[in-house]
Amino acid sequence: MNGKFSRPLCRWRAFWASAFLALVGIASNCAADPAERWNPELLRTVKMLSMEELFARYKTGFDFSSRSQAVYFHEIAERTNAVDFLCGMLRKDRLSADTKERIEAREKAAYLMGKMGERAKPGVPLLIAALEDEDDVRRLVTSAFADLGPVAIEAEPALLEELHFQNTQAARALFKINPTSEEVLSAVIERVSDPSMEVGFRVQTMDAFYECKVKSDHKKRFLEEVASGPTGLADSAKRQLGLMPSKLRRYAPPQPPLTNETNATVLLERLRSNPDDRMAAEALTKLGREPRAQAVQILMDALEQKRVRYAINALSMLAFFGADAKPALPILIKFAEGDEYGPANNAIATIGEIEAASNSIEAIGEVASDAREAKRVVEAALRDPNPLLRWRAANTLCLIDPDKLEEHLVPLLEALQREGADYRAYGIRTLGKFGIRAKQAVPMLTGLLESETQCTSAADALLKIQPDSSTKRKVARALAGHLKNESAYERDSAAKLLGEIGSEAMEALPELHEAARSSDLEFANIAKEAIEKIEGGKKEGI
Amino acid sequence: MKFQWMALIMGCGLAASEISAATADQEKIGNPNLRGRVVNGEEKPVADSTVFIYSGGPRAGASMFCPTCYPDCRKHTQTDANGEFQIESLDPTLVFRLLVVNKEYKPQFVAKTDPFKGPVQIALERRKNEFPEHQALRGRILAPDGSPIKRAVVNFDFFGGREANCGGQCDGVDLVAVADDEGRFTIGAEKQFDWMTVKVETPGFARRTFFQLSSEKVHDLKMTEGAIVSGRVVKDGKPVAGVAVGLVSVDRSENFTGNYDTFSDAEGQFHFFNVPPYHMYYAYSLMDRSLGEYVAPATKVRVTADGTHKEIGDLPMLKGSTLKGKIRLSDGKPLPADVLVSLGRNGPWDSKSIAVAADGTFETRGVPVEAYSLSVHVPGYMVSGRNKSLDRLNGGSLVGRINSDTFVQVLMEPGKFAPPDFLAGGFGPDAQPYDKPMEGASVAADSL
Repeated sequence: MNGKFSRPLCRWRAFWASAFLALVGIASNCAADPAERWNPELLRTVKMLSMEELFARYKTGFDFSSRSQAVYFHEIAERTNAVDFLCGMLRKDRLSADTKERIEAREKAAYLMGKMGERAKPGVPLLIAALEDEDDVRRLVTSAFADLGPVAIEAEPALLEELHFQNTQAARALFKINPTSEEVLSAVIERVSDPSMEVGFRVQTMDAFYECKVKSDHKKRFLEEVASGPTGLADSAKRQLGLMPSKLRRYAPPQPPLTNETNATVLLERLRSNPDDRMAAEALTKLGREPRAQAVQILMDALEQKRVRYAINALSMLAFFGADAKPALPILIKFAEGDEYGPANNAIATIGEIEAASNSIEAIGEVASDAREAKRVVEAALRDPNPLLRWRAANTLCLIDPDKLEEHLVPLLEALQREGADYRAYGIRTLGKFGIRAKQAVPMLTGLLESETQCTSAADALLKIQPDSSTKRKVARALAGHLKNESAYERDSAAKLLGEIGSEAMEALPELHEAARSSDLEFANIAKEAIEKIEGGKKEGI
Repeated sequence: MKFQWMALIMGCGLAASEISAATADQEKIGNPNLRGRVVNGEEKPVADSTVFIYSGGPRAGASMFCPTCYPDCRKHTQTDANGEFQIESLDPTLVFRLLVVNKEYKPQFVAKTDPFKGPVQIALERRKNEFPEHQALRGRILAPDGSPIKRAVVNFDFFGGREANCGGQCDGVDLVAVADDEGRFTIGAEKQFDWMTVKVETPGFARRTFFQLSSEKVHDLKMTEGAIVSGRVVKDGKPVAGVAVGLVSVDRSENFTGNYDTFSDAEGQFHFFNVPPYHMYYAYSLMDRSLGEYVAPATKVRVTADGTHKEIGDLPMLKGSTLKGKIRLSDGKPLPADVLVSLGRNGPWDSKSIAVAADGTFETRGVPVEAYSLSVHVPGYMVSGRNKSLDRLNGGSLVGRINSDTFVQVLMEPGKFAPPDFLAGGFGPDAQPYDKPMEGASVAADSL
């Protein structure tokens, strides 16, 4: 079946891939120094710091949540002596007593080595030796091997031994290093099957099977065997086989607000006493302008006074109020420029929602000034070291400045190229909201129809950007091949989209009929509904 | 769970040192043998029963130590054809709780057994051999070649699912079973369960834990030979004989493999056999059975596969520090008599008891450079929060490093330690400052 559909797609891919590479090239040149626009003073300062000072200021793993930490990380990675320095920090001084600080320095060095990619290869023997270090160091060394992947192939024997030591990260590292190795798979299966291995280790090791890409059905047979057993391992196996419903991985339509309360006074009081009350905020959006304005003010005050449990939630809740939340722009700008990535991301997203709803660029006075400042901050985030923030900024610019959509789509598509990024599927799917004006995304989306993980997201967007018959049939062929995907979410989505395509998805009916007989009943029902829509459409001549 | 383990660790180490402190008395009194006879309801002898020393306690007064951690608790024997048994050379300062196991009978505990009071008679109650569904764990203990291992001791650890969720000394479950001639064992329970974790030990093989075994099938549990760990005790480069050396797994979670003790021979050599493979261990000399003020600090040993021989090289005896201190009561009252300070090593399975003088002072020598917990028990008092090194999660002890000769003033105040709200968290990094030098209350507290 895949062979039948793959040939025309290959031709398309060859043409569009070259066009897309040119597009990415332009985007890459735009972002020569990712930290350039955010806090230039910090950028100048870090250039003056010694490697020791940079290492001391960097906090392990915080480059994902803090923009200043990302700058330190970026600077460490840029230094030519980084690997030598990190090797020195990782080496244990056996002549003097260990201290908490020394252990933490070795943990940090191990973590950073994992981020050095090919450059870290000379340090792999030292990382292997560090598997005999303290448990916390071992944990980060093992994660570093997973980050390095095939570069760390030399560590495979040591990691196989670590499986016996019940190192919970070892299997994941092994699968990342050598994902298609039958030997590695057998070794991991043997350990997971050994009742003298502690259950926590076995359960955590089960989750590593997601990374295993062995072609044979060895993995599947093992998962099926475990799934039928009574132990706690069974749930993990069932999830991986797509047999266990999971909110995260199933298609779920948006839910209506969970409160029926309509009294503005009651709702405002609820929000005032608990600014984290999302249901109250959602209910207030349905009311008149005055209570909406009051709700915005309550959220602003709570953010200013730090009375919210998580700022990211309150920042997102402001977006519910669309144009009525314009007075919140100054505080949103403050968070968008702040050091923490989470609040910055949500603040930029909310700026996009507010501006898109109000078309405020045309506004006058203070509000117009705030809007211009907001746009400047969002543009600056295009050059942030964090790819999520770059994507968010580009997406927001597309929303608030639709006249320059083609220009803003360039960095947006560049950010969506990043393999494995957790925002990618959502970002690709939501490209559809720009409709036919986002035509420059079509080559990338067409290429992604063959992706194991992004096919349905790309299909969804394509159907909105280029809703002609030819595209629909092309998308239907890809989705039909996707109905046997490992992921329940992907299978469900593929079936649902085929139903939405309707009569132009006729070619997918054999695969849908097979899907309708699936033991996964939820999936089978979605497939049946899709068949009805396709066949109904045909009868009605749609 | 972790805190329970810590309590266990403390208790076991202290128990060992208490034994050591009593050595002189033992020599005078002698180590008694416990004799007895096992019979059934008709007073007929029951042969082939296994009699365990399950736990111990001091002959007089209360103990804060772990009752199942005394060295004698590892002793067990079989009854002969007349149902008679003898367990030799027991600690004269203790009385014991026995456990008698025979697959035809209900397991029987016998409390407060005193070897000095002559032979004990134990009556067993017969039980049915059929267990209702999900009320027994069945299996076979096998050697690596598949042959059965008889007399292997299978210890209950935890069971869960259905009506069960309990670990340790749970009511209504056989705490120990002994494998028969075909290696078969059954652990019965009064409650239904889905799975059970057991720990198996038998001479010639490494101790092994088998996790969450289903009650729905019969399990073949294979033992392995384990590894050998060897080394040499030296002082100034020369071998030292007669030093007690300990080996204990670093991991104190569910994977804890227990501790092992041995002595260095005339060439200073020591060997541990059947060590469970693939674990990190601490090797060290025991503080109270070393060489005066000289002790071997703990060194980490990585033990790999079954059949391997790990040679750790020389274990050097180094001069330990002196720990001095004073116990003060915040209300100014005098200390009661016979207060003891317990000093437990953080990694090694080792601790010592230190007598406290009437004025509250105490002193001990030969303390290796390591992290410790120091606990004091004065009835009606708790260790004050003013002691800088207080273990704020568990109370009851100071924790920290002893890097050189140290003085610690331990301030006690009336009351009982209230455990913190673990769900609320927020203890900060110094809640258990094991990595900082041990400090008591400041001198200013002296004026209290």
